[in-house]
Amino acid sequence: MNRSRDVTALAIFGVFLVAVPFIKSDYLFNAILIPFIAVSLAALGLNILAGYAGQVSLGSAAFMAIGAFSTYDLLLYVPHLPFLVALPGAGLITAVAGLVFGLPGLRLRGFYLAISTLAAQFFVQWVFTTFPWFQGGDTSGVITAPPIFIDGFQVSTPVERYLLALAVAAILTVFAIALVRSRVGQSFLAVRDNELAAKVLGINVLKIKLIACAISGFYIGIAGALWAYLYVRTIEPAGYDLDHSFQILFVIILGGLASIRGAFLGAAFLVVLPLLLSRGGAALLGPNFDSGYVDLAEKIILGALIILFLRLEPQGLSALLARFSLNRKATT
Amino acid sequence: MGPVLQLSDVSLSFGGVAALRDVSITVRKENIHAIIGPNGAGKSSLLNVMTGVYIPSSGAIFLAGQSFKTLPTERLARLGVARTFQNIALFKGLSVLQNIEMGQSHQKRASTLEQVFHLPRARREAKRSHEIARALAEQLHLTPFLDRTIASLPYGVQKRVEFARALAAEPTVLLLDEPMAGMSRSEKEAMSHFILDARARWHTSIVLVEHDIQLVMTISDHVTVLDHGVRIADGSPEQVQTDPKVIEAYLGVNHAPVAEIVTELAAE
Ligand SMILES: Nc1ncnc2c1ncn2[C@@H]1O[C@H](COP(=O)(O)OP(=O)(O)OP(=O)(O)O)[C@@H](O)[C@H]1O
Ligand SMILES: [Mg+2]
Repeated sequence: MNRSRDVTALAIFGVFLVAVPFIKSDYLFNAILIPFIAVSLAALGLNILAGYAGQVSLGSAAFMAIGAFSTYDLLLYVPHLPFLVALPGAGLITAVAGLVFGLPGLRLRGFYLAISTLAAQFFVQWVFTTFPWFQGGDTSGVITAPPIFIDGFQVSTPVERYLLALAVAAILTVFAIALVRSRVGQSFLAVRDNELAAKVLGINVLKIKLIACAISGFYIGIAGALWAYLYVRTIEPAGYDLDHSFQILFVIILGGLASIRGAFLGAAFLVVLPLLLSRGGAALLGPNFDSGYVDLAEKIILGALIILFLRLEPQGLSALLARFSLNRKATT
Repeated sequence: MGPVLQLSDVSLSFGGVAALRDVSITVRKENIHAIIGPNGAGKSSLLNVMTGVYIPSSGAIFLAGQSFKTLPTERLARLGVARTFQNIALFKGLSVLQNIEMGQSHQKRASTLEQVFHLPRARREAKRSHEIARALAEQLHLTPFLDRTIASLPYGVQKRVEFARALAAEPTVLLLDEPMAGMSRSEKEAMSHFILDARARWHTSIVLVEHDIQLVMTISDHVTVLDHGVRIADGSPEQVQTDPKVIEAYLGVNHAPVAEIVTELAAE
């Protein structure tokens, strides 16, 4: 069964790869596929911490900002550093930041991590707006992302940016699957389900939480760098606000807690929903359609869905899908 | 045989409530040592002191040749102590097999990266805990349930899984908090058989908190009776069940007819 799941995961990435020559629209890459991958990775990172290890964080966007700025600063201040080294480097820096903000909250139980990551959310944005050093001395507040070079080759077209994002996502997803299946991954669940019982069995609970925090930070940092360099192509603190943090949290609630594919399903939903709404709205209301409605409708629908999912299907879209495929198997 | 775990004059209180008052207990090697007493007597509190969950206000604990003021919970498994909980404390997100394998946690040395990348040491350790878990499941008749989720199992089976998880830690001292609560007569018999079997195979010393007096008297070597946080009797089952203080604690004074029934039952 595990084998077949591996094959499925690889097959899905294969489809995303093989589809490339058939997609003629830059819009699809720019507005849907690239942000979908970045959001999926951030959600994957949050899911490792919140879904698997049971530690709720409200600071995902702050960690994405740290990933984006670390990549920028590493490339700016370290001469001749290749992008493919800066990227995991930024992941490591974000992992350390995750530990720094996680530690005070993780020593205590439950609510406290939410509070300390919320503090991170505001603190990090403040730091990046206040100290021009992070923006290379630029005080305008918006930096255009410098071009990415991989072995002398410039990654610039939408397809190239998409392929880079896809490659990073594939590697991180394979690692995540191996992680949650390993004993560490099982210890995450044990700590989430019953901290005292885990402790009595000799599991170092604080260490397990810190590992989850660091790995989660690594993923979210890389997601932030991809978001900045491949999607919005600017590096600015404003994009990484609390709203954004909540969106990542909603993605894992909708997609399914403690589920890898849940992160992808939830992200797909979140990225596609506003587009569907604006298309649908325009089709229904014609020229009178105001795009402000989309925002509003999106918030209402998301809110309603989250309440619905929390009440009726806490395991999210991932569980719905599983049930669907089970039914199909049962009927065929 | 010598003591494996000893509490001497341990006291514990919650606010104004004294849960334990100067309780001393000596658990001997390979004994089944029962702790009985009415509801709220302090039995679970005693187990919680023995596992460092509660910190006693006074007294000392001797374990594995060392003296402790409070026991370090996370190091207990390495010191050879495992336990089950009165309210089932299984990991709901893990399968039955994975729950039992978790019992081996304290023996693991492979680092996180070794585990994620399946490096040899991690593979060896995983294989070992897998084998131990499977053998225990076989022995405790849990094999048909190995891939099941915890929530899908009947209560009695969940209790058995938790017992298996504790045994997977390969403990020298095993603390069981009401392992047979809520079980049918036949389930209880099976469970007492499993407990005796565990002792016979691994020379485990067992501290057993249990309400079923009749059952306690048949399988224990030693019985300690608590009432209102005070140790009111301590000795062999024969000594304890004829002790007037015990009968009084269980039934109140002037309940002679009922007291006789209890002693008769116990004598069976
Ligand atoms: N965490 C706690 N906070 C406050 N009081 C507690 C706590 N744990 C136990 N007590 C109190 O300590 C006393 C002993 O409780 P304990 O659970 O040890 O009894 P017990 O003998 O295990 O009872 P039972 O047979 O019902 O399980 C009771 O008065 C109980 O209310
Ligand atoms: Mg109790």
